[in-house]
Amino acid sequence: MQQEITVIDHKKLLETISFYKQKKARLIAITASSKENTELSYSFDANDTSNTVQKIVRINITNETIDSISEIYPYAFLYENEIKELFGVKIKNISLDFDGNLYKVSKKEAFNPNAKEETFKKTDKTVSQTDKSSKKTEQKDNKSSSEKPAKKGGQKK
Amino acid sequence: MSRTVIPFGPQHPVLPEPIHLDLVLEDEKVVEAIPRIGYVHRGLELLVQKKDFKQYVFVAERICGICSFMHGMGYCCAIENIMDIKVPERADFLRTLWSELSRMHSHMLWLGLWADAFGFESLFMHSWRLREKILDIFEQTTGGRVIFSVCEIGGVKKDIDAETLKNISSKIDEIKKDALEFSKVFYKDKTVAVRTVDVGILTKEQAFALGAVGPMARGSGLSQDLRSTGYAAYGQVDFEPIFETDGDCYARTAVRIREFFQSADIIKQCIGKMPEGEIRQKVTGKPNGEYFMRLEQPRGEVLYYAKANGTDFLDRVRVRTPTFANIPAMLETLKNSQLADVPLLILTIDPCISCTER
Repeated sequence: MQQEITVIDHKKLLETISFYKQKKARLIAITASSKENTELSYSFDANDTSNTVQKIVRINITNETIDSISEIYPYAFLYENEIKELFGVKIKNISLDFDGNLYKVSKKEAFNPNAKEETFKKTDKTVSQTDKSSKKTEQKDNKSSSEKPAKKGGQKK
Repeated sequence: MSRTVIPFGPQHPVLPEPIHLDLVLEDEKVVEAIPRIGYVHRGLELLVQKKDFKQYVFVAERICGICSFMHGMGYCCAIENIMDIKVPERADFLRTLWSELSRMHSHMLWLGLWADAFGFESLFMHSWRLREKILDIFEQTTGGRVIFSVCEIGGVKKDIDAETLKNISSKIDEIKKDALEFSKVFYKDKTVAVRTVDVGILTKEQAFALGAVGPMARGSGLSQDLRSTGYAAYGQVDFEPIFETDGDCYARTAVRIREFFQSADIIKQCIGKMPEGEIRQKVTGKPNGEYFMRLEQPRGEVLYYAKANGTDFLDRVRVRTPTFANIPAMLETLKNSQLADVPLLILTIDPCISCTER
């Protein structure tokens, strides 16, 4: 399987990710790798089995805060929480932010070679959602609660 | 209506491994579920900086006890792509054969757990009885039943002689015959239908939007199956991705049952087309570069990313397991479900927390 890696400026991240979303590409994963800098790779699949080219969008950051892509790809929140917690990458506006409580690991930023030796301090606040996303969830809940799925009854053949 | 938050897990009878969910309920209806993982995070990805690139195969195989072989294979394929190693054809066929046996055993294990979750214990026992026969084939061909360490960078460590292949072929026929008999219960029994039909519906659009993979995606009508890209020997066997369109628990069960029989057919094809020749390619030098390898495990697509720097020790290995990818889809199916269905809806993704906590 071929792979195409495109390195972009982190300021153009949302714009680039939106482009892939418009093309109906599937986000496969976000991969972080840290040495002197931290490298974030966003892998995409065109969701077409005949297309064997993987597209990878990459940004390099040192200490910058980057935007969450969870508004564009809602399921990115898990990847972003993981990267935030294990690599210490600053990511803002994650739709479901665990504030460092996704993993119960004893060492803070365990995958970041440049991290200071520090153990985790557990906070009471474990999960926070941005106001926008919680409102959305509420609206969706209200809508869907009135639409009860009809039972098919009987058995399938 | 007032809301109640019920903690579900990390210890629960339906969960063999720890995962926690905060279930927000209105009466008996779940309106929201917030996951918490990481109770047994092992940091295996970080171990790549302490084990050399050949030793790490053994670590990769220990990420999961069910799809152990495919973890080892995923890692080996990533390194082989970086080093531009052409694996012998026979090794590719053997890898495909063991991969499909792993899929059969994984699906049969899940079907048993699934039956047990809705209280059908005899069906659970029948499923696991059949699974034992597949484990026997593993033992016969590799010496191991769970982790068998036959995959290595450049090929495989063990060959299977013609007599054993013939023997496997007849055993597969027996297993298929048995499975055909009791799969009718999954398809037609009323008690199974009551607990699975129209339960936990995930539409095709939702499955795509939430990044679902494997039988979770295929049960909702997405025909994504990485085997179609033709890695290992998949390009030389005939098969089509299996999918169902209803998107409920019943559809996901049907996908796994049909894939069980499909895997049996692929194994028979591999045995029929098995080429003669070497089973391993000599590996010289050290890897330098990076590669994103994807393959289809029983639970869905897995991603193996390896980044090497020309030394014995890699800079990074990253594994994105199918369970990790299916968590958002599982949360969606939990919304508006009944509290009594929560254990089934968690099991429906075939969760492997061991994989997730790599």
